[in-house]
Amino acid sequence: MKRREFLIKSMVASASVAVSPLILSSCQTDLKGKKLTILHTNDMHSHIDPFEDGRYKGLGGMSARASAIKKIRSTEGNLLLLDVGDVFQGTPYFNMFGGELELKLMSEMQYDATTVGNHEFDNGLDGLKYAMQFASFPYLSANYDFSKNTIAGQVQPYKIFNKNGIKVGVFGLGVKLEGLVNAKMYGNTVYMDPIAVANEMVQELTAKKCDLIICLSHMGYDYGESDIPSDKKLAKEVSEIDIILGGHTHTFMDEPLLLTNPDGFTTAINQVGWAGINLGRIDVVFTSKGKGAVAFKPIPITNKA
Amino acid sequence: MTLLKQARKINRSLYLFIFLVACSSPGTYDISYSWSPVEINPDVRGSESIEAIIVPYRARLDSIMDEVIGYATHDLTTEGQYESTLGTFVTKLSKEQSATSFKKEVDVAIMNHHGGLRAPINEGPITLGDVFELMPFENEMVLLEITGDDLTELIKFIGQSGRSMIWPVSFHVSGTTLLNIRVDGKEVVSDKIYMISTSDYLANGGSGFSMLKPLNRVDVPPVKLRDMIVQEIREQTARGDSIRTDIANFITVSEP
Repeated sequence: MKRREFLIKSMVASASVAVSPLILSSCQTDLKGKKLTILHTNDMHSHIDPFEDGRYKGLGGMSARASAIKKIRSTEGNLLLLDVGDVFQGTPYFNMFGGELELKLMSEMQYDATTVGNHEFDNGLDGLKYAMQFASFPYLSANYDFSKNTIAGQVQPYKIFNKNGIKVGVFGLGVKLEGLVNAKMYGNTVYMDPIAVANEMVQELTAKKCDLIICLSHMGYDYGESDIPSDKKLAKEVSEIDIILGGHTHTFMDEPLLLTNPDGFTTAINQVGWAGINLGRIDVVFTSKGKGAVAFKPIPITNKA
Repeated sequence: MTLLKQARKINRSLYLFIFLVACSSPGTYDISYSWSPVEINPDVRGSESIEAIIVPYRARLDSIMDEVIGYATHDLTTEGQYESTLGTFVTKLSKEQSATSFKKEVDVAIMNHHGGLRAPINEGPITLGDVFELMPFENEMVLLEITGDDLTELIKFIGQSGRSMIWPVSFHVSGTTLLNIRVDGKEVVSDKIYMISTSDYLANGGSGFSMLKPLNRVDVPPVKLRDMIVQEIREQTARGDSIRTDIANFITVSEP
């Protein structure tokens, strides 16, 4: 079995202590020892079949991905399967069938949620509405206002999942549409500032006593010094988002970025390239109550599908 | 919201795991993260239930996409910073097809080059599926009017950024300076109105082309860029020609 391994090469131990406000809901239920497995994809771009040639030859494919997910489900009962948008566009499957097949397959794999990427608009709002009927899971987007158009009511800002007592708040953020998407395709969809919206989401999800907050961000990983909203900018400016699952920039990350912002909150950012070449996996474990001591429980890396 | 303090500590263990550990005050929990992506490769056996859903779609798709619409006598790729065989083929046909589709004379064609042309045309038979891979996006053709002065600025932007393919324009790049700018061999006339053909993506300001947004758009019926490429290949094939394009070497570069 030849398998490329994505092990973290760095052996350097580094530590930084940061102070952040408590996620207060942790007091509600006994979470000790509870584990949540998060599987994630982004920018699958209609890659139903594995690549036939080129540098990614043989990689990807929704059938193999489904098997990998099923295998993990067989050992990990507490699991969330999330996607970060741009399910659409990239192979003739989309051009011919408008996303119908992609969403049927994701439903069969029991995805829990996705968000609205810029390519979800490629066949216009009517095209998106048509395809959505094949999705058994919700579209989450907090900074696109669809209330005045054809898919009003079919996209929700967030969803709270109760996973074996762990309350997980998941919300979505999208990229600025103007200049990126043909205006007649997104119609009167209103784009709102993602940073401001993220602050509102965090307040709301915290008030609703979520133990873990996850953002599905189709904004892109990093745009350096520019003002363009990105995952890094989000983590820097908004506290309390535990995990940002990213997309849009097709970034293959060697390891998740742990970013500690000026307020001392640390957010994990991860993105898994594109086209379904990798299935991202993050395991979260709530361990013992801290009494001033650092306590953690390692989870072995298993990349055996 | 209660503002109890919670300290978090980042640790990379010697076991090649990545953790984020929160050492917490009483009543809170430590959270540890570990990360283990799964590569989806041929060693992962497919799912029969998923395959069963895909099969009828794949069969319908293959019957359409396997149609051979032409032949290429050599590989057409996007190799080359300013000019490439594939970039030249697509910009040239956008100029020429605009003339037939829209009955408009186009002076300059601009195409999103390395980012926009997503797959090469390989030597041999060209299928409809090949063109879908080359141009998966639903981009439509747009005609824009531009003054000679603005066109010169636009050419300078392209010369300096190396961001797209432009045709038939020649210039010499010396460091950050552009010299000897010519459109179809002629100097740009500053107050003349030129016609540009491009994709709606660039015309809407994509890939840094914000200067295209305010330009006057000529009202033309919607034609997809991909359909234009298919049309060109079909026409050349009908004439008994094969697809071949040479790099014109209109653009030269030297150290300043």
